[in-house]
Order: sequence, then C-alpha cells, then structure tokens
Amino acid sequence: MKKVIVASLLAASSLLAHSALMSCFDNGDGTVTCEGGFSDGSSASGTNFFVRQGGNVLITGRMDQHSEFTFKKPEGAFEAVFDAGEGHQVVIQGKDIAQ
Amino acid sequence: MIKVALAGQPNCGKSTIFNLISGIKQHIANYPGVTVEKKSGVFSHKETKIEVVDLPGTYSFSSYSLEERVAKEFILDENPDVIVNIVDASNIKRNLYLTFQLLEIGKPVVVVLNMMDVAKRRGMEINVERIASMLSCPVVAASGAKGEGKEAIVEAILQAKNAPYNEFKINYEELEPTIKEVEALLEEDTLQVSKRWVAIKALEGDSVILEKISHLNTTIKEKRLAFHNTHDKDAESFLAALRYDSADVIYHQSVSEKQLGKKTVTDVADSIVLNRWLSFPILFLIIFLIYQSSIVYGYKLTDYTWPILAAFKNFIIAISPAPDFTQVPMITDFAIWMVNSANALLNYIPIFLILFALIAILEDVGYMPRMAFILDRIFKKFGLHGQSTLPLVLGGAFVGGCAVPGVMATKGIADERARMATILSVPYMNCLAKVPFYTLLLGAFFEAQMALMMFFISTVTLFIALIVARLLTSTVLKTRETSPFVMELPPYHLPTLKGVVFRAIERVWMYIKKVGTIVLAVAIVLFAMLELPGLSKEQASSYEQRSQALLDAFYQQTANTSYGERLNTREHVAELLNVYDDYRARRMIATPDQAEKIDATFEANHPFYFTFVRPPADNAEARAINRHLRNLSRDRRGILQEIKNTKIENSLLGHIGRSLEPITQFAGFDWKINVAFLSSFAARESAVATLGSIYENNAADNLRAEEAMAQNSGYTPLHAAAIIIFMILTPPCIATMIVVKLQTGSYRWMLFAIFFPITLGLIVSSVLFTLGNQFGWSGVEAFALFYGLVVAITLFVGSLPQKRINWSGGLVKINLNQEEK
Repeated sequence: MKKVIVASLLAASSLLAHSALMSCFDNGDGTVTCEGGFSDGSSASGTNFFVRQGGNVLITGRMDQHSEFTFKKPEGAFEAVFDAGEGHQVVIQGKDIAQ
Repeated sequence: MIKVALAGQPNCGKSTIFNLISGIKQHIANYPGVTVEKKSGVFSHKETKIEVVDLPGTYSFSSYSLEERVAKEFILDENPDVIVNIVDASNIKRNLYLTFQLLEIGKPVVVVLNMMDVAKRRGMEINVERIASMLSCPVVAASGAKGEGKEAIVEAILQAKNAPYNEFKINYEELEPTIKEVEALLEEDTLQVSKRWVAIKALEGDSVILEKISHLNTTIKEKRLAFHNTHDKDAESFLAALRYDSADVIYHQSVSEKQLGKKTVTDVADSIVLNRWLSFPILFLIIFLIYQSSIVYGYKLTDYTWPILAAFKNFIIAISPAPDFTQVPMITDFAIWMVNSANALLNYIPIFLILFALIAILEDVGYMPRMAFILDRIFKKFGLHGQSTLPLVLGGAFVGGCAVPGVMATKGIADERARMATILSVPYMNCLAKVPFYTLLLGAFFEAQMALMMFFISTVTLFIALIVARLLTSTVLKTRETSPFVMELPPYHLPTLKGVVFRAIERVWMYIKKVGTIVLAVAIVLFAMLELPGLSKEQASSYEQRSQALLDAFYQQTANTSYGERLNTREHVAELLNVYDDYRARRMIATPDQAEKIDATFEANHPFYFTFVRPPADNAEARAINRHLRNLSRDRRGILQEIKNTKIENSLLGHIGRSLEPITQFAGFDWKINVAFLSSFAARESAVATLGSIYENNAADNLRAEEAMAQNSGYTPLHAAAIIIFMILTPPCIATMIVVKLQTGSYRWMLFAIFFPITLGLIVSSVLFTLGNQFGWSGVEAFALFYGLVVAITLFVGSLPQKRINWSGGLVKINLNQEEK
C-alpha cells in the first residue's frame, strides 16, 4: 500500500505546471542542435535528451546550460527525444528536422 | 428608468430569474467597501429602461450577516422603485418569512413564485390569486430553469411602479403599542421607507436602522427593555414567531399537497449521498473528479492556449525597441517582464473555466452544502469549515495543485472566521510550481531517499495547513464572527447549461479584470526592485568589453567570406542576431505546417539575414557563418544571464537578501539562497534557474544544475532540508498573494499572508538547522523529525476543544420536504 502511495506521488511530481517544448535544427555540418524549453519559460538545462534509431538509443545526455544539445546526425531515420518525465516527452522525427 | 431590487432567500433560483429577465448585459462590481458581489443588468421594455440589481441572498432582512446588511443598505440608500421577491414555490412557507419583511418596507413588491415546475412535480397545488390577495401585492408564477415567466414578471414590474403601494400589515399583537410609539417619534424622519418598518426594525435591534436614527437609540433601548420586562419576551424572537405563524396561515390557505409523506428524489439521493458509510467515498470521488478535470485536464488545455500567450509575448517583443547586442533597452526588459507577469496569470484561464463551471454545477445541484455537512466535523476541530474542503483540495491536498484557484474558491464559505482561516492556510498546500524546486534539491542532496522525501513533502503540507488554521483561529482570527446560520440542505436541482456557462465566464472575467489590474501594479514595483540601481560603471564597461570581444571575433570569422563587408558593424550583427533569436523563438512554438510559413515570412522580410539564419545546403560560407552565429547567440545569452545576475546582486532585492543574512544564517541560508527565494517569489519559474545560475561555476563543464549545486555550494543535506522546509512554508507566488488580497479585501491581510509564513518558515528551519548541527543529524533525520513533530502537533491540536463564537448549535439538517408535519 505504502509503495503504491509513494509511486503515485512520484508520478504526480512529474506532472508539472507546464508543457515541454523542443525544436531541432540541422546545422548543415553533419550535426543537429536541439533546443528544449518549457511553456512557462523554465530552463530545460539538465533535462534528459536522447536520440534513438529503431529500438536503440544511440546518443544520450542532458540539455546543457543553454537548454541545448548538439549531436552528430546519424545515418538513416532517427528520432530526437526530449525527455522531461512522464507525459512530458517531445519527439521529433529526423526527417522533420529542416536543413 | 425603473430601478428594481431583486431579493430572495438562498437557493430560491434568484440568479436564474436575474439572467432570465436582464439578459446578457450584466455588470458585476462589489458593494462599496465589502467583498459582496453586486450584479446589475439594464434592459428595455416598451421604451422603458429597467435596471435590475441582484441583492445578495438572505434568509431574513435583519443585520445578522454581511449579506443582510448590504441588502438592507441598498434599499435604504439607493431607493429602488420596485422590489421583486423571488420565492421558491416548493418551499413557500420558509420563503415567506423574508417576503413579509420586504412587504413592510413600504415599496411596491412583486412576488415571483419561482420553481413552479418543481412544486408541481411534488404534487403541490398553489392558489396564486389567493396568495396575491392575502399579501395584497401582485404574484407571478414562473419557472426560471425552464425560461417561463419573463413577460409576466416584466409586466408586473411596470404596473407595480405606477400602482399605489398597498400597505401590508402583520398584527404584532402585544408589540403593536410600542411600534406605534416609535413610529410617532419618527415623525420628522426623512427615510424614504415606511415608518412602521423602521420602527419594527429598530425594535428588533437592527444595527443598520439604528445607525440611521442614532438620535433615538437610547429611547428605543428603553422601549425594548420595557417590552422585555412586561411580556418576558425579546422583541426579535417575538416578531420572528409571529412571522412564522403568519407564513403558516398563508401556506395552509393557499397550498394543498397531494403527495405528502411520499419520499422525494432528494430524500432518496440523500440516503445515499449522506449515508454514514458511503458519504466519504462519494465525496472523495467527486473531489478527485474536480481535481482531475480542472487541474490535470486544465493544464493539458493550456498546451493549446499557451501558444496564444507566447505569440502575444513575441508580438510585444517585436514592437519593443530591439536590443543592441548585449545592451537591452530598459523599456524592452520592462515590456517583457510585464508580459511574463500577465501571461503567468492568463495561463490559468482554462483551469478556471473548468473549475468555475464545475463549482457552478455543484452549487446548482445542491451538493456544496452536503459536502460541507459531511466534512464539517473534522474541519471544525481546526477552526475551518466543511466548505473549506474544496479550496484545500485545489490548493494541492492530493498531489499538488495551485493556490490561486484554491483561494478563489473560498468565496462561498459563509463562516467569516473559517473563510479567513481557509484563505490563509491554502497557500501552505503543495503548489505544483514548487515541485521542480524540490526535485532540484532532492536530486542534489537526497538522491537515495528521494521517494521517501517526496512522500514527506507531499503529505506534510496538509497537516501544516490544519495547524496554521487552528493557530490563527485561536489567535488573530479569534474575534472574527462565525456565522449564526443553520446549514440548509436544499432539494437537488438539475443545473441549466446556460446558468453554468454564464457563471463560469462571469467569474473568470472578474478574475481577469481584478487580478489583471493588481498584478500589473505589483509587477511594476518588483521590476524596479530587481532592476535598480542596475550595473555599476565598472561592471557595465567590463561586460561591454566582453561583448565587444565577441563581436570582434565574429567580424574576424566572417571577414574573409563574401558577406564580410555587410557583417562588420555592430548594428548589422545586432540586427542579424535579433532576427535569428526571433526566428528560433517562433519556431519553438510552431507546428510543422506553421514552421514552413514562418520560414517563408522570415525569408521575405529579411532575405539577406535569412541566408545565415537558415543557410541553403549548397552555400558553405553561409553555413560556416550560421555556425559562428549560433555560438555568438549562445555567448550573448550567457552574458545577458550574467548581467541579469549581477543586476539582481546589485538590486534592492539583492541588498535585502544580503541584509537578511545575519538572520537567515541560523537556518543555513547565505545571501544567494535569500536572493533566490526573493526572486523566485517574484517570478516562480526563475527559482530553479536562479539557483542554478548562481551555483554554476563555468560555462565549460556540462554539469546539471543539481550536480553543480551539490559540488560548488558547500552545502550539506542538512542545509537542503532546512531550505526545503522553508520552501514548504513560504507562500507560493505573487499571484496567490494577489488573490488573497482580493478575497480578504485588504492589503494588510495580504502582507500578513506574506510575512507570517516567512517568519514561521525561518523560525522552524533555523531551529532545525541549529539543532541538527548540534546533534549531527543527517538531512533525512532532520526532516523525518520535522515530519513526526508536525503530525503529532496536528493530532494534539485536533483533540483540543474549540468553540464557535456566536454559534452554539452544531449542524442541523433541516429536511425541507418534511417540515410540514
């Protein structure tokens, strides 16, 4: 019972009062930069970020102090994921990242 | 113009009738000096303008409650032409008690028998003509919920205005001689109402009337005493008894009930809703649904409304003077600050719309008083009221909520002391916006015990709110009135869509109007406190040098390209950067379709700069410049952030933070923490950012804010525990304080709501920190101790007796359907 309470509290704690946002740009030099943020203006610095291809996570890390993450563009289709917790994931398809 | 006052008891369907006859052109304000809402509407009928003012719902027309005072003062001071009395037809006998007092005033009265459909369903046959002749005033049958009776009511108003007033008299038997004597004394009086009524009210000891005729107060006192001595009865209860008897006479002569003794739907529903075993589960289910729909789904809705606010912000930025590299004009800073403050509040609108609609439904259905009835037993122990439930839940009783709607929802609490106590304790509940702050500290100092600490933080808040409520009601709020009312459980009604939507929009609009004006005023003051005196000369020139170095580097990087000549002045580069940042800000909130449109617009407006903002694939030079531009933009943002921090350090608020250090050191807070607290109170979204940036060492490493803080601050988990405890106890944000001001109607209570929790938080965290240092407690130990202590105090306080002033009885359930034996 106690476990259930703790678990539900944790789930709730990620239910923040804002929504997650991300936009990615292809830098044209073989790298992509994604910038994260929150609707209320909060910094996304330190938030999890990863790149996956199929079921594999290729690159993982955290948004830097400018709420950005730059990575080498993988070959083929991929997804960039801004992971700010349950219900606060933003996924951008590689093909949607404009040149 | 005919001025009409709409009067009636609570739950008689007064607002439905008000909406029915006055239409959508309504004006809402407060009665002067009090927080009671004044609704009025103007409409035309047959070339006559009619103004309808909705008086607050009152059971009688004495001066026991604020609402009654307000209603009576309106009649005396504003002199309406016609009084329309709404009567619940299914409840005639009780409603007539007010009707008699209105008839005695000496103004033309139109009685509207509302809810005729409900009466009919209950098998009541009402002889409307008979009532009209007994009351000697026009009586109109209507059903507001079904939209029936508008024409007849308006016609009756027009006729009543021109018809002579038919005096209505109840024979008050033994009191009659005294009434006549007082009436005679009033000969010279100029009140535009019946002298007999003034005399009766004065003998009842009515404070509003006595204020108007203060020269006679001693005489009246003597007469009241004389009556008491001769008849061994108090004038007011004697009058009340006669009025009830008269109501009974009218009821028996004009109403016949066919289904007497049969169980009504309300009886059946109440046997479930108020059932000893089911009442709590049902209550929790309803509260959970409200919470889920307004807070959770409301926030989801803000995902759709927020881009509108963001676009508004982008628009304001666009029309403000553009920054010159790292030199941002103060007016631009100010504009952005104001938009951010306004947006923070406007962002709540979807939540409020849902919340207010649900509350309106619960009110219409009749569940609100039942909820209060169920929980009053527990809350009473802490000086709160059954009606405090909803505000506390919205404030974050379960998992995290928002104090702004919580405080707003205290409006309906009838008991003045409990209402104040609720307003002042809701801000202790677990505010959703504090959660990132906790997560930051827990991640930095309590990574292993995160779940346990989160559990502590989430549950301790309700206990604290209860203790504070109890503390306040036995001290500063001790003398506040608790209302002398008997809880009424009205029959269940089906809510009308129109009424619900109407009230939800109306309340949201009021929120925007009121909070808007105050928030802007407070935001201006805060801006000045954070911004002034600004950078010193040395600091300014040092930042300027660094900026120039960045620019020089950029010129060099572009010099050898074919664009070099057009990118070698500060003016051009600053403009390019502004275009670049604006582009990125817009792209951030855009959907893929919109993104293409944004690209097209930018390309059209800034063809040259757009080459670097979004370089073509085959242009290697533009790509290189884009890369440099990106770095330049980052570095610029870095400098701007540093400037901001320096400004905060220099600012008035920064000085306050420093000057508080001698006090806050006992809690383990240095001035940086103080400033973070102060500025987070100003704009909560900056709490994490401020702390993060204060503890950031250098731009180079990629540490998370948590890690940076744990490594660089020199804090121990005990420090963190003290900080968290302080954060739990401090008020969530400016917006909350502003609604506190709105609901208490005074800035003094707002200041109290700010400084009392801060002092309390400081004392508690100081004691814990100092003792913890003394005995070598770990952060978790200290926090667990704090938690245990709070729970123990709650249980102890809850077991103490507390009496209610002016209210000796407990809650009494009146079963309205069986009051006629």
